[in-house]
Amino acid sequence: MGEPGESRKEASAGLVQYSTENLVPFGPIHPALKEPEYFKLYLRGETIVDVIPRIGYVHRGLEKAAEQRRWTQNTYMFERTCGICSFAHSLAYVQAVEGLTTYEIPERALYIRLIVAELERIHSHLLWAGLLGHWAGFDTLFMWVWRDREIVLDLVEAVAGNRVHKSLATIAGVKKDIPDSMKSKIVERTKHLADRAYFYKGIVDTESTLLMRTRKVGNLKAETAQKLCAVGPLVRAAGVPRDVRADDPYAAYGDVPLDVVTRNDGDVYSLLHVRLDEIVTSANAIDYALEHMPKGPIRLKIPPTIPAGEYSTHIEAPRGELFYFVKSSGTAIPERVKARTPTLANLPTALELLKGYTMADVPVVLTAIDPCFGCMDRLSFVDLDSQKKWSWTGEQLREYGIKHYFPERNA
Amino acid sequence: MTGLDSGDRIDVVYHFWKGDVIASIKTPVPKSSKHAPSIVGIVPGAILYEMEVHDMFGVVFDENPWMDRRLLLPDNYPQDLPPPLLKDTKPADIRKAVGVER
Repeated sequence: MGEPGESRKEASAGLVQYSTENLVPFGPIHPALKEPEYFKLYLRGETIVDVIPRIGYVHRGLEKAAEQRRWTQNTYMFERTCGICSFAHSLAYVQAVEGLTTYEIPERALYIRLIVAELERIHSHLLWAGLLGHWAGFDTLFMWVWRDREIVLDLVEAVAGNRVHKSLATIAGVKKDIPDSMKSKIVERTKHLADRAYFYKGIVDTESTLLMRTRKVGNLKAETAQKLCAVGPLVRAAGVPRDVRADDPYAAYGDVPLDVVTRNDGDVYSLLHVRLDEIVTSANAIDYALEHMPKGPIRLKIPPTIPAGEYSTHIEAPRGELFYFVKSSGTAIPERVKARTPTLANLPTALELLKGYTMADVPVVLTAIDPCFGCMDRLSFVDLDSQKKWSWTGEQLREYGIKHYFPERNA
Repeated sequence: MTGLDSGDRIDVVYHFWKGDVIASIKTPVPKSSKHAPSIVGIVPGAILYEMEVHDMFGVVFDENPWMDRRLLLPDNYPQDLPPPLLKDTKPADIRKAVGVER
């Protein structure tokens, strides 16, 4: 693959001119998918030479909208940034706002935040493992994992009242308490999920389909990952023990023991192991937090205005470091709210990873960074040698990938 | 990396985290010139963040190889309308300009 940047330079030398001559105008991306992104892949034969991203198809202007809404209203608006790590977004936002104030957040609320954040992490990692199975052509894993995902979604519903948008975090506390009667149910189910994670680890190690599609695919070096500012499981799979929960504890993470899971190879196979191991550590953290949760109030009553100032905070969302910056001018409406999501941070790494691999690896490598899977739909291909252009939907690309590796199989 | 509209200038705030150090560095960019040096040479991962600030505040980062294209703004966002996150730009104007007026 060579040095990062080298291939891009080599490619762009001849390509900038090429791409302006042959700009392919693609319309709106598939409406059924949540977060469409658009990549132009430049190919030489079968090998990817350069990738150019174009995102923003679902950019709804949340940061602008935040400047017209009250502090509390924004909690629920930012929760809707993402349908999977919704609690992470509201948690990062309220944490940033609380940073501007001097409120003592109740201990119990911090523990509840940790428990819900970890439930969400289990959910997100299960969802990702299932999707990876699907894109790699191993749908059995997809079916099994997504069945287990129902368990954690039911738990989230029991705790928060909602399955997707938890609406639980609020400035200076949380909105709902976890009653003692619910503890045994949560512990029992999370134990079951941890057992399932071990079971899936066994499958990942023995199933030839997965080994073939994930081993040595997307080899990310620790050095490259750090240079391109990768975050989350992606950088941990490359051997860098960076985890906001351990490095800069927030909520109740300072009190709860937590192992940082790392692997050294940086390929998709390592990522699978990192994420499955994190399901186990999350389950353990939830058990510990439930047992040691202090009694007391869960929220404070606060005035609608927030003192003037600027504050930035970061948390470990399921996909990596999530960053929020807020600026207040002392009124009931924020002056500026800025969110930096982990997918944007991981995008340069994914682009670099794709180079040198074949088209058949695109779904697996792109899924590896855990984007919302909209990016897989609508890719445009340009063959440099024949100057031919065509486009495929995600489903066609998936079938192509399976046929490339298993010619005898039907997708 | 955050852009901030501070009246006659745009403050670009760089947030760095390495080891035990978290640093936020604020760099003022006057609205009259709107040019700032790029840090892509030092931090290659900053390329998309600079594109984001470019889209949303109109700051041009010299030496960033992808300054000639848009990352987030829709293609039909007019050139003559000021960038969306400046305080002077009203949401109603943006809606009218991109054809989604309610």
